[in-house]
Amino acid sequence: MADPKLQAFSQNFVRAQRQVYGYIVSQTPNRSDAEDLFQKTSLTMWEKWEQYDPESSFFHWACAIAHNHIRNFRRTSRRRHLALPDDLADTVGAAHMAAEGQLEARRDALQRCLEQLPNNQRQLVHRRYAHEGSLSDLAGEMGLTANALYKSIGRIRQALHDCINRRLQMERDS
Amino acid sequence: MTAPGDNIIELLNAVVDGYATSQQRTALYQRMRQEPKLVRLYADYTAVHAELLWQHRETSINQPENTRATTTPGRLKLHPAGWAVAAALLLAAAIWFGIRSDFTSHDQTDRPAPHVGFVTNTVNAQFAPSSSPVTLGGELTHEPIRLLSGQVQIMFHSGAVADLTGPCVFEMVGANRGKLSAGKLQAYVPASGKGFTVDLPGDRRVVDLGTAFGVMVSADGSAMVDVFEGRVRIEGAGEPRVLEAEQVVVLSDDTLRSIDPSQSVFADHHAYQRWKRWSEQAQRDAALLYYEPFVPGEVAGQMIGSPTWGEGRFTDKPALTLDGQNQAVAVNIPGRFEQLTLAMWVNVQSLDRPINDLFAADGATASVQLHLMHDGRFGYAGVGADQGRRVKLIGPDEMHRWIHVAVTFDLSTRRIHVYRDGELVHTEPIDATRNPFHIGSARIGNWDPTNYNHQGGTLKRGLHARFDELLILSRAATADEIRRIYTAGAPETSQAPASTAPSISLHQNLHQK
Repeated sequence: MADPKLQAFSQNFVRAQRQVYGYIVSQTPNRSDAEDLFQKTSLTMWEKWEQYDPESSFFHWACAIAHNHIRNFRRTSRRRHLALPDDLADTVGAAHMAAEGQLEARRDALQRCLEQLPNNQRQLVHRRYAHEGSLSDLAGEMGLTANALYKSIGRIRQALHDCINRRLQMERDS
Repeated sequence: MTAPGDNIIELLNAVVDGYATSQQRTALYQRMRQEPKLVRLYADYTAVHAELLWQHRETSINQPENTRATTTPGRLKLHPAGWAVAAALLLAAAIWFGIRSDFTSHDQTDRPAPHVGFVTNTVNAQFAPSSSPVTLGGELTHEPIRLLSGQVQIMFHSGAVADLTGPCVFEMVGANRGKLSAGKLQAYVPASGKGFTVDLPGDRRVVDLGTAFGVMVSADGSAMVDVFEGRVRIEGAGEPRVLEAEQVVVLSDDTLRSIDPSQSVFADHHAYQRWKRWSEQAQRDAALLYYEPFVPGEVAGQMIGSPTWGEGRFTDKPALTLDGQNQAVAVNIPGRFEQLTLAMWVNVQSLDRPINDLFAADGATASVQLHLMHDGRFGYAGVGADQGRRVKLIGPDEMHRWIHVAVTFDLSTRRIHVYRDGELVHTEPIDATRNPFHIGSARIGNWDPTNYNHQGGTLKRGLHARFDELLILSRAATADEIRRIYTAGAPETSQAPASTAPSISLHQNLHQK
């Protein structure tokens, strides 16, 4: 179909979405905030697709658009206290972009680490992330106290994080 | 609740899970400022959180429809091939996350219709009034797309891309599956979309086995399947059958019969592929001085006056439209040459001026210039001859069609040869005193008269036309070569057999509610 430039943009769009989402979550970890910002970022990318220079990094271009929306969120949203402050947003954003080349390896490692989890822990991760309400509500549904749920989820997330780093270290050493 | 203490992981968990107090946030941020390594830890930790969020959106969207509204405890459904393969599936979440504004509903039974892809391009697309809104970048649901005319390109969550040509009725029934009720579809399936399925009328289907293919469903329910690359499997028409590249079949009732690819409604696509192969080869010619295939975003010359892109020789590739006013493409070809070949594909829209330039070196009278006179005669200047003006190249009824124009200049034989559509139409001698040919700075579709001193000459020479290719060689191509160049780049003109073309009977289908 006509306009291979637009086709190339579409492919870049598909490839970069996950990483851009990660960039936004790193600065606004709350799911609904991240979703709103991701929505705005995606729409802006489509509105400005012709301004993208194919010679430059699509991921960085997309992050720049996300950055502007996040900055606006920090200035105008009543929920701005949930976002990283300006100075840390810049450094965390830079760290996220600098790790672009490792994101795929970290995703692969996370997948393997998830598979190693005991069933009950894997199910807990699923329920936490598939649940769109508050964690307190989820704890109620599960017959747990909120504190117990937070602790369990926190321990599993830390285990996943440590597992990823161990795997990557093993790959570097091998 | 136990308040997290100074443990950095506890602080990170509190922030990620949304129960951190303002004091805890302040404590975390303060430590990150003091210990730069914690910035990396924070980025990695939130990346785990982000990936889990992302993955669970994909899981939700890729569940069968009857289970999508609820999530089942313990049903952690990772994509079988894992994250790497799932990269192309991320679009599901992209659209789910990225374009919905009402996604934050906590009641999963209230979820809107799932989105299974998005629109990546439209060309002159007109939709039936009953069709769902379709806009560039917009999400698509299971609602049928009823395309009256023009083209729409859609991308499935799997990464599979489908070009729809109207009139057409198509429905995305899943993240990697669609139903073509009528009209024409071309599919391009990356590895991540292997297994992409197009359902056809009569419980038949085409299943991708790693490929690109075209499908056309006629008004009578028969279907033509044409494999461009790779393989597909045809199901529901007798025994399943695997088709290879360049194979074309027609499915009618329960029968499947092979036909010659030249009879395919996708013959244009084959012509485009044939031209692309030739184009790659042509660019390796040692005598190549300049080659411009006119690909958007990759034009080698300097675009002047913001030319636009219009319909090209092939459906898959546009051409550059010059308005005949100030628009042009400026190029520079240094050197002097004993021989030259200039060959181009041009679609003339109008001949508004006494002289309309196809290609003209800037101003200087001793440089190569090719043009069309107002009555369609061909002309050249700066080459040591001018009898070519006697040649009628384009008749009044030949506007708006693609023609191939080629000229060779050869000082060793002292001849000029003019070809149209691969056939020699004129030859004449070159002035015996002629010096080697010079081009230098030049323009496609216009000229720069700045250095032109001839009193009374025609200064405005813009040609209103579409340009699809320009090849310049430092040798005189033979007649056989010119014929091969023409054949390799000729657009497909054959039309679909009447029995397989979408007919007016689609009207009811397109407009149904």
